[in-house]
Amino acid sequence: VYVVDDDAQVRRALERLIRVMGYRVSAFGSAAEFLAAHDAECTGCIILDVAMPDCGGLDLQRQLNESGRDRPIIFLTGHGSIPLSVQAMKAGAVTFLTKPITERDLAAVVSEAIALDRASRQTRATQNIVLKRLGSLTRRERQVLQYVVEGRLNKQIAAELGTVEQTVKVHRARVMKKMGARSVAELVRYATSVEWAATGGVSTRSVDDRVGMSASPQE
Amino acid sequence: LGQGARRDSRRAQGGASLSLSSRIAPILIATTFGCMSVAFVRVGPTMAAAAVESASAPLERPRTEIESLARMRPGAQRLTLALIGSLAFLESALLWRQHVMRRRVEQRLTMVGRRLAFIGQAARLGVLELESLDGPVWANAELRRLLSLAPRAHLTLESILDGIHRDDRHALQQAIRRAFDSTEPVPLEVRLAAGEGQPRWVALSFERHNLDQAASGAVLGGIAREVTERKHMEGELLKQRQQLAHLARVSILGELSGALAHELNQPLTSILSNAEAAQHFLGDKNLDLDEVRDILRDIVSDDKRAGDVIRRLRALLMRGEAQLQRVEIEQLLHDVLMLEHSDLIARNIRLKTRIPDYLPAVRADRIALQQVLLNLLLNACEAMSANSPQDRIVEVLASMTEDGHQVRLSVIDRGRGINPEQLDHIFDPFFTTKREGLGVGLAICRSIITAHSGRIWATNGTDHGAAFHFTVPVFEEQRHEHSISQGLHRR
Repeated sequence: VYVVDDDAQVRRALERLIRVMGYRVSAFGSAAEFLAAHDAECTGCIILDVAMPDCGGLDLQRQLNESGRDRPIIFLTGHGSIPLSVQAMKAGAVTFLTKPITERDLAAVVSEAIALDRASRQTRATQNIVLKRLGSLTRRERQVLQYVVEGRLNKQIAAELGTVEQTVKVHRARVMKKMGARSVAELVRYATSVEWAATGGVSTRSVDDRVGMSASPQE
Repeated sequence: LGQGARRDSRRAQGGASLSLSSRIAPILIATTFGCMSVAFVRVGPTMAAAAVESASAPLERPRTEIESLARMRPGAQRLTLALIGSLAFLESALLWRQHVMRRRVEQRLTMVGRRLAFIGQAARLGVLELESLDGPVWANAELRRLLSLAPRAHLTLESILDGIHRDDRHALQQAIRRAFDSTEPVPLEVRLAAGEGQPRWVALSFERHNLDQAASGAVLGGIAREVTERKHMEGELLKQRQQLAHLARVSILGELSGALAHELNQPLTSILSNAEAAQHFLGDKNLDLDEVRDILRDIVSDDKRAGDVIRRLRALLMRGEAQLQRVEIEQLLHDVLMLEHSDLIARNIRLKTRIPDYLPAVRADRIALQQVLLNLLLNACEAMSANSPQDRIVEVLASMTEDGHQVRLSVIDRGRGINPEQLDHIFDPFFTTKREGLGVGLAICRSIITAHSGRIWATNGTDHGAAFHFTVPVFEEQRHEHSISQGLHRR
C-alpha cells in the first residue's frame, strides 16, 4: 500500500495503521517522491491525499493513468467536495473517503482495492499471453481463427478461402495448438479477451451470441 | 478754599471720598467765577502773569505761600486768590469728569463680566487661569459647576485636581506642566471625579498667554467643556465598528470553513489512526512498547495542534475589547497562515514571505491585525483564481518605514490589478469588484488600521497584479501604561 500525503503526522499514523493491518506500506510526502520511487510491477493500491502543494492527488492520478502505470486509488480528503469526488471517480478511483477515517472503513477499501489490482493484473497478464500467441499465427491461420470465432463451419470456411475442407482442418488444429486452447470455447474466449482488431486488422464484431451455437457442433 | 479743594481732590484720587468734592464742586464753580471776574477787571495782564507764577509754586509749602500772600499789595492779593480759585475750579472740573468716566468704565466692566459669565454659562464653557503650579487659581462659575466646586471658595491646583477622576489626575498635572513650558495649546480629555455609573468626560485645552505687554505677566489659561455625550457616542460608534469588524471576521472564517475543517481533520485523522494502530500493538504477543510510546507522543502533539487551531479560531470568533499589545510580525504571520494554510493549497497558491530579522514588534490589537492580513491574503488569492497554477504566487513583505516609527506590511498578488480609477475608492464602504462581495472587507481594514494610527493603501504592480500596503506603529518599550489606555479611550 502506498500512502501519499503531505502531512507528516498523518502519513506516519496511516503508515502504522496499515502496517498493523498486515500490509506492506511505503509512504511519500509528495506526488513527485512517489513517482520517483514506486514500483509499478508490484500489486497494491495508493491511498492519496487530494490536497497537496504543487501536485495534488487528482494530478497524480491523471499522470499515472496517462503513463499506464495506474493502480487502484483510494482518495482521502479533509473536506469532501462533490465536483472533486466526481472527477476522481470518473478517472477511475476506487473510492473517496473523508478524513478522519476508521480502521474498518480503511480495511474494507484497501482489501477491495488490492483485489481489484490483482484481478486487473491477472487480466493484463492473460491478455499479454494471448496477444503473444496471436502474434505467432500466420495470416491464413488468423483468417481461419476469425471465421471460427464467427461460428462458421469448416466447409464454409473452405469455401470462403477457396480451399478444401481438409486444409482448413489442418489450419484449425494448428491455431488451437498455437493458442493453447483445449476447446473452441476456450479459443473464442482468448480471442475476444484482447482487442481482436489490434492483431488481425479484421473488424471487431460482437461474437458473444454465436459462441454458444458454434461451439458444440465443432466439438 | 482752594487748598481744601486740592486736598480733597487728592484724597479723591485715592478713591476714598469722591462724593465730598462732587458736593462742593458747584460752590467752587460759583466762587471762582466771581473772583475771576473781579481780578480781570482790576489788574492788568503783567500782574496776572506774576500771580500765575506764584500760584504754581510748590504746594508742599502752603504756609509760606499764605505768608507771602499776606505781604503782597492788596491788588496782587486779590489777583492771586482769584487765580488760585480758578485753578482749583479747573482741577475740580477735571476731577468731576474723571469721576464720570470711571463710573462709565466700571459699568462697562460689570457688563463685560456679566457677558463673560453669560457666555461661559450659555456655551457651557469652563474657564480657569493660573499663574503658577502652586498659586491661586481663578475659575468661572461654569468650571466650578463642572468640577462640583463651591461658588466662592478659594481655589488652588489641588482643589481643581480633586474634581478630576483619580486615574486622570496625573495626566492633567502633566498637561499643565507641559503647557507652562510650551507656546502651543495642550489639549487633553479627562474624566470627572463626581458621579457614579457612566463616567463624565471633560475636554480641556491649556494655553499660555500674556495678561499685559510684559513677558513676565504670562499666565496659563484653560478652557474646559463637558464632552460626555460625544464620548458616549464615540463609544457607541466604536462598539458598532467592532461589531462590524467581528461580522467581517466571521464571514472571512465562513469563506475559510472548508480549509479550517481540513486543518482540524488532519490531526483528528492522525490521532484516530494512531490510536487504532496502538490497539493492534497492545493485542500483539510481542508488545513493542517503544512503538506504543511513539504513537502516544504523536497523539499528544496532534491533539495540541488541533487545540491550537481551535484557539485561534475562537480568538477570531470572539467579540472582545480591542487590546493594544506587543505583536511580533513573524508570529502574526504564523497565526494567520495556520488558518489560511489549507486554503492556499486548495487554491494552488504559493506564498513567499520576506521578513527582515531586525524587524521590531508593533503595537497593535493582535486579532484586528490578523483580520486585516487574512482579508488582504484572501483578496489576493481570489484575484489570482484565473491565473495558471504556475503564476499563483502571493508575496508578503515586511519592512520599516523611512522614519523608523512604523512597520509596513505589503501583500502582493499577481492578479489582474486594480482599475486605476478605482484605486481611490477601493477602501470605501460598499465598494466592491466581486460579484458576491459586500464591499465591507477593505473598509473595515481601513478603519482598523486608522484606529492604530496607521495607513493603508493600494498600488498596482509594474507589469501586473496589485499590492496592498499598511503601516502600524512600532512597539515602544518605554511608553507609559497610561498613554496606552488613553489612546484606546480616544478610539
